[in-house]
Amino acid sequence: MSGELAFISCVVNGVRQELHVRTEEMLIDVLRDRLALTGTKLSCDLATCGACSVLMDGKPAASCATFAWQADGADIRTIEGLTAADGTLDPVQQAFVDNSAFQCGYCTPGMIVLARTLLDRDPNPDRAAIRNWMGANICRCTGYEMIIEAVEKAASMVRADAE
Amino acid sequence: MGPPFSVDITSPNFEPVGMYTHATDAGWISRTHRAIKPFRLRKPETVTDALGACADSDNATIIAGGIDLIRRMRNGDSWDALIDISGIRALRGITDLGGSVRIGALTTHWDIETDPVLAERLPDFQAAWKTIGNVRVRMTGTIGGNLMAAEAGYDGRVLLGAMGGTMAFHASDGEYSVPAAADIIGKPVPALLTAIEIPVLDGARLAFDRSLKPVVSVAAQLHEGVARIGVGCAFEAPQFWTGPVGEMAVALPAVFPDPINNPMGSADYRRRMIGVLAARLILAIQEEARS
Repeated sequence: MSGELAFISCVVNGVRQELHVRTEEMLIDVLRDRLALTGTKLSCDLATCGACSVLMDGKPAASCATFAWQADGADIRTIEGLTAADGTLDPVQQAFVDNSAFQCGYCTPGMIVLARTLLDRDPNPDRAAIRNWMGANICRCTGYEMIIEAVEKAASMVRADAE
Repeated sequence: MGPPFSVDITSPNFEPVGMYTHATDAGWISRTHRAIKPFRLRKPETVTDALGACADSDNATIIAGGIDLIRRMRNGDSWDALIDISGIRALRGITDLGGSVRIGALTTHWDIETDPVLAERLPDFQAAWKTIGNVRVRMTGTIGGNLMAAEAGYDGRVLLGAMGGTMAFHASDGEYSVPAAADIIGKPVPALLTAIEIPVLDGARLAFDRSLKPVVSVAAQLHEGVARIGVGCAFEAPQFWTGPVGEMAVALPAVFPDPINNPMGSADYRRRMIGVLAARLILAIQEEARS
């Protein structure tokens, strides 16, 4: 049997996108292949590792395990969308750079997106809260400590910006 | 079809993997590598329409958050049609009914862990539910999906069964309610889980230990000397025991069927740890009550 096409309209990194997608098509494939947003990484393909995380209506979503039609009407932000138009990095991105919170870097976009969703809800998380939240994603290189420290630094930057 | 680099796109047998015929299909770009079989999509806005959509196909299933279903489809399960119920507003929300709390089937785990009604009326349940999944799963996955997935390693029914919760279904032949601790929760007719109802019992305390997951998880509720024990992970489906707390130590190992025996943990180990964890949980509840 053949599937169906579904029409979706969503905002990706501030730009309205209107597309026909196959019902079985995954959001990550639309982002990477059609919109050329290759910062979002495919890894486990099972929604386990979080490398493919994007912001979907402010929530972290595994784009490898989200059908593209589920994004209809959604506001999506990828790692590319966190950077300001003038190239200024989001505080989380800057903190990851400052703390060298990556090694191979493959998990980094998902880590940054996930951390962003934490700081959007709690700009002053304690270390336990950060560890619990960031436990949703997997890094096979850094041993996590630098990532946790980067999120702590990002939180302090966010708070400083707010003051 | 052979490996991507040997695909002959001029062959009459060639079928594009997706809707493209460019580098993605050749494998040079990282298209998600476990393709899902095509399906028809239906998006009903009412429970009645959802049941009708189910009845229209011999091979249809329900999707809400999609956490469990997409994983199953990745692993090869396929359906002719997916019925997306995420737009049925009547299935959302948490309501205080006085003697119980009603949770709509589409309520996400995140909604449960942050809901003020549950914080006041069923704080032990809320604290226990907060341990399910990671934050990505909790913000997308629903309580209904957790229950209807019927996975041996999922703890939703373990908790609800231990609390005497019930599951409300809307079926083609009417509405009915089933205890979460029942052996069989479905009926041989299309039915949709609409809500979960949890009784609020004065003085009841719930404790939950999933530290040995995926080998065994145990939930224990103590109310007026009666213990309700739910056990997950150790069997193909959750098992429950209810009785006077003083009889628990003798009853527990014997009343259940043989646990799963696999490299994760032997049946003997699981059987022993069910009793150990249940005893610890009851003791913790009793000590907290004394203090």
